[in-house]
Amino acid sequence: MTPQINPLILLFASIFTGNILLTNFLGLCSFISISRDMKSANGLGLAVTVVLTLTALINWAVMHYILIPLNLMVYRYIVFIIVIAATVQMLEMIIDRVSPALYMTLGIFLPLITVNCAILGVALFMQIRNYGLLQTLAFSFGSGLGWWLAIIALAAIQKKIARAPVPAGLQGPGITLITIGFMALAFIGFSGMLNVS
Amino acid sequence: MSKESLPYVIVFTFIVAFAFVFVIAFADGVTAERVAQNQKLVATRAFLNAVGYLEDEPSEELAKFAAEFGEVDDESIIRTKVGGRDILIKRFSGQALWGTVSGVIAVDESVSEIIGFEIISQNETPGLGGRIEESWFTQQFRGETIPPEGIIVAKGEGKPDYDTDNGSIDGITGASLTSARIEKIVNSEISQLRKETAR
Amino acid sequence: MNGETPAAILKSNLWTNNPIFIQILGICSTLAITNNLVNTLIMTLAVVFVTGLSNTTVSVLKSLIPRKVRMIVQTLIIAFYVILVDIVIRAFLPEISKALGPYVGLIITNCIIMGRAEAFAQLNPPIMALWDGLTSGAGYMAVLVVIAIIRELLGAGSLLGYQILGAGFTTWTIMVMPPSAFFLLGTLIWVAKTIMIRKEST
Repeated sequence: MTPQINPLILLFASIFTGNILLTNFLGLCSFISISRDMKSANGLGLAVTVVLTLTALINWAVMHYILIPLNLMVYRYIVFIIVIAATVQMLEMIIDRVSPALYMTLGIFLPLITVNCAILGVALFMQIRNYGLLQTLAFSFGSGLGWWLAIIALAAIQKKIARAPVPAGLQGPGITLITIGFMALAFIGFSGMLNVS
Repeated sequence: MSKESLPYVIVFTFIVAFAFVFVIAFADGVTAERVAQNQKLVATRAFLNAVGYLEDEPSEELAKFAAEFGEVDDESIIRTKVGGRDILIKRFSGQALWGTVSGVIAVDESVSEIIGFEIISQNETPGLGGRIEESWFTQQFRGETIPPEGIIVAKGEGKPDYDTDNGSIDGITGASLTSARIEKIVNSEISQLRKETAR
Repeated sequence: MNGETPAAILKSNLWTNNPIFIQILGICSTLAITNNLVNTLIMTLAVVFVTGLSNTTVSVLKSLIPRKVRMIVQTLIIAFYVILVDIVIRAFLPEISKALGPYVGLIITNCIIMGRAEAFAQLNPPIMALWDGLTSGAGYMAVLVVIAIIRELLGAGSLLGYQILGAGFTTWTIMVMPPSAFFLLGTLIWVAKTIMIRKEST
């Protein structure tokens, strides 16, 4: 077994310096279409964090206890995506039964999440980087929080931009992407915050 | 049988899944040997990149040695002669920011100069930490004198530091964490190599 | 979109309804590796291949697929082609496979592929579905290749790994870093939309 990275470093790095959205470009599709208002941004952020952590852990277990022992790693893409789809569906059903109030804040965003590339992306990174259970937990939870943070920040900026005179051709996705670019630049600045050695 | 009836759905899904699994298993079986071969080739190529420049025309001996290099493990230190110089070569792996980095490091026999440094595999962010495998970065190590306290990977200036006497190389802009980890990995390898030669 | 001519589909997928400019779909899987032209070409070719063939397969099977499991079967078909592409790249282009890392697998969640399967392949004959898939992929490829050319040329002074700009050229480190992909894509969308708006008004 190779020595493992300190999970705390992974947690902070995946929230800030290595933000899954801003440096790995994952989860952009739903990001751009939802980021207009604060409330849904918040709901989606929470949903992504929950689903990301949950599915990463399940996928980790499936990989280590089923795929690797049976030598089925070739099929990992299909297995991961099915696990994600099934988890999301199950979560939606459970929340619907248990708490209608929570369903209104969280549940309605769940169907959007199956196609969010960040979820599959985290599972694939976890596999390719050979993370242990703790690392997977830290990385997936951190990535979720990082995504949440980014979408809230973007929603707040979007509110201001709505009142600014943006050229016709740049309105909508154009200005959003450029704003994300500036955010990405700022987040890279966080790399001075951590000291790993 | 109706298209929406349960038995049909189950049979249909089963047939589709079975067909796909079969084709994939076949394709994987056909290419498995090639993939294994490729993995060895990567180590061979990294080794040649690291020390091959010492010889103008790669000798047969070097080529043969390089081909065997794919089988070498992380622990053993290998002594060999390339281009008339005695060198020590070691494969290494260590933790960078996101995952394991593995590569090859070669030093002269007194561990006072780095002959070459190559990355075999890494999983850092593309465009940031992932740039450690680019040749402008790895070639900075070439011929670098090793100060007693070890190599320094400086904060990224965006300009490679090819000065071989200052014991310092330029890190990667926007990836100071990965750069710091590389510094640590290189220095721990150097101290291991030193221990070996002191014996 | 029933009964359109191949030329109309081509124009729609490459320009007026370009998957990236208009729909901002599927960029997640590829944007990260656009700092290198070779990787981008291989990756987008893989997307073209998967979109084309999964569209065709969905179209061929459309009368057989039960509605209840439609989405999951489509995902299965897409994942199947992605795994094939992954195996081929790993066996024959090991260097590129290493550089692409997990991004090949992420083609599965590329919304364009699923979107075309839902919107087009469900309703059209296989040949047209193949054509639609290939052209959608090409529209996607075109935009990302432009971004990759700019990023590699300014960021490393090279194209396809060959040094183009002389030694005197100071490389723009920012172009290699992730934020530049957002800036470039934003600007490209701006240019394309401005041209479209002009055309509409004349």
